[in-house]
Amino acid sequence: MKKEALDIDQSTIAIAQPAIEILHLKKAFGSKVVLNDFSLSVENGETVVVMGRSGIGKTILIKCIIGLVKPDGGSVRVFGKDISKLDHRQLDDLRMRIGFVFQSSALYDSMTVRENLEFPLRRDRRRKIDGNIDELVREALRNVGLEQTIDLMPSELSGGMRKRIGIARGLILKPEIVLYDEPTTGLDPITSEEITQLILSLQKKYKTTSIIITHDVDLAREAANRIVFLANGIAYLQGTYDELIHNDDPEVKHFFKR
Amino acid sequence: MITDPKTENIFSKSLDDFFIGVAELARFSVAVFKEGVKPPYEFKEVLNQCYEIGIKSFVLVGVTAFILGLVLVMQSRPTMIEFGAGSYLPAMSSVSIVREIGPLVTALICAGKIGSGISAELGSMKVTEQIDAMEVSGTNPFKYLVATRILAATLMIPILTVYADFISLIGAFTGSNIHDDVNLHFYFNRVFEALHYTDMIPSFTKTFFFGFTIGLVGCTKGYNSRKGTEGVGKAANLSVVVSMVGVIIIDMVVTQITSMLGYL
Repeated sequence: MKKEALDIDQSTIAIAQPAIEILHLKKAFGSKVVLNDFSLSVENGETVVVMGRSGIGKTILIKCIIGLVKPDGGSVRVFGKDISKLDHRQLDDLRMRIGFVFQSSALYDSMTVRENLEFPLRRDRRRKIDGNIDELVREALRNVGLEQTIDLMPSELSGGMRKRIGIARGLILKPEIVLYDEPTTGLDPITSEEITQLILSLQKKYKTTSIIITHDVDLAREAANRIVFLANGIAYLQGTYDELIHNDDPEVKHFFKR
Repeated sequence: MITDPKTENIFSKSLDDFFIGVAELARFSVAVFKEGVKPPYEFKEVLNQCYEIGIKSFVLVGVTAFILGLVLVMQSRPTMIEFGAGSYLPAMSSVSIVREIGPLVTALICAGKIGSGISAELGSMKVTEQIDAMEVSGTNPFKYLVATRILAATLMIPILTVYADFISLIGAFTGSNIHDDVNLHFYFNRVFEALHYTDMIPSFTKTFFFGFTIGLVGCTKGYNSRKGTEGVGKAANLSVVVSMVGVIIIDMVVTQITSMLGYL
């Protein structure tokens, strides 16, 4: 009876814990302080958009979350695990539960689209059978409307197509968390809108927790449950889109007035 | 003595860069052995790299080796005949080719072709975030990209050298036949009479070190390249220069050791 009560308590804690919890994160490159005591908590199923001026440390922030950049101080907890305390294998296992969509798409240019999408599937240690890889690749491509590109090389794709394939690759393992690094940067307004709608539809389909780094106000308005405005290395302001656009802080006002 | 501070700065910076480069290579070598022995092993990628590094270099190495063998005999022949040593031409060419020309020229060609290729590939993967993408896919890029390439280079350069030695001897035989009429069977009989295990073993052993050096330098320079496409170009360039110097230094050290052991 006592043990049951303990189990219930632990499961309640597990449900209540945020998907991502960042506490007092610090990162500097030489004398340039990028993140200075940055804290943020992202709940399960929540979409948080991080905005701020270029070079302010938004990409560094999500790279710290996935362990690509080692912070100088503070902690990053993902699903309750402090990523700085994980060994290589544990970190790899955790990364399988996180999708990362790169700003540059980062498609492997020596591989076809099919091989690009197969890569994470083949490296996933949780998977025992390779049998349905082809079906999963086709499903991922159908999701982004690019099934016909399966045998093309990345160099044969347009910028928008590359972004879509990058999103398809980021989501192919059906991750619980997706980190998007400026998914609409460098695209024309129509393609940006298409990518925005694609992100929304995929989030609805897979019910992921997301952090989106962007300067795109339209994307932020449509996708965000909450917007975090990053300035001076901290979460300077946060709130809904409406709260932020009506905020009187000069820096925030200037940013949204563009 | 008056020294120009500007010259002194350039000198001290070059010295810094040299030691940083050496430290980087040492760090990479340790990491390769450390990561390479840990499972899971990337056998498929090693085979893929053996194909890319080895099989795709066969034509270039073959053509160069043939020409070198041919030119060696054509240039040595008049002097040898002048000294009445024309009949030693097969022996002279085989010892030169197997001991020195074959391994060294193969390594230098591979330093240019493979070293720069590895460096440019890894460098461009680095600047376009492909290495990061690999890491977030749960793959250790060091193991997948670096250890596999170094292992493939270490295994393939010796094979390419043996192949180059053989093609070069064919070239030498062809060169001998331009002015004289030499029977193939007779020629190779003289070649194998002149060659001993003490010629072949040190020269074959050093090619593993050549391969390791070429792979290591190419990967180190590429993996650590910075500053966008300019950095990739510099890394590829530097990789060729450093691996060529490395190969020549190893050659010198092996020759010294072989000489000390009484094999020369």
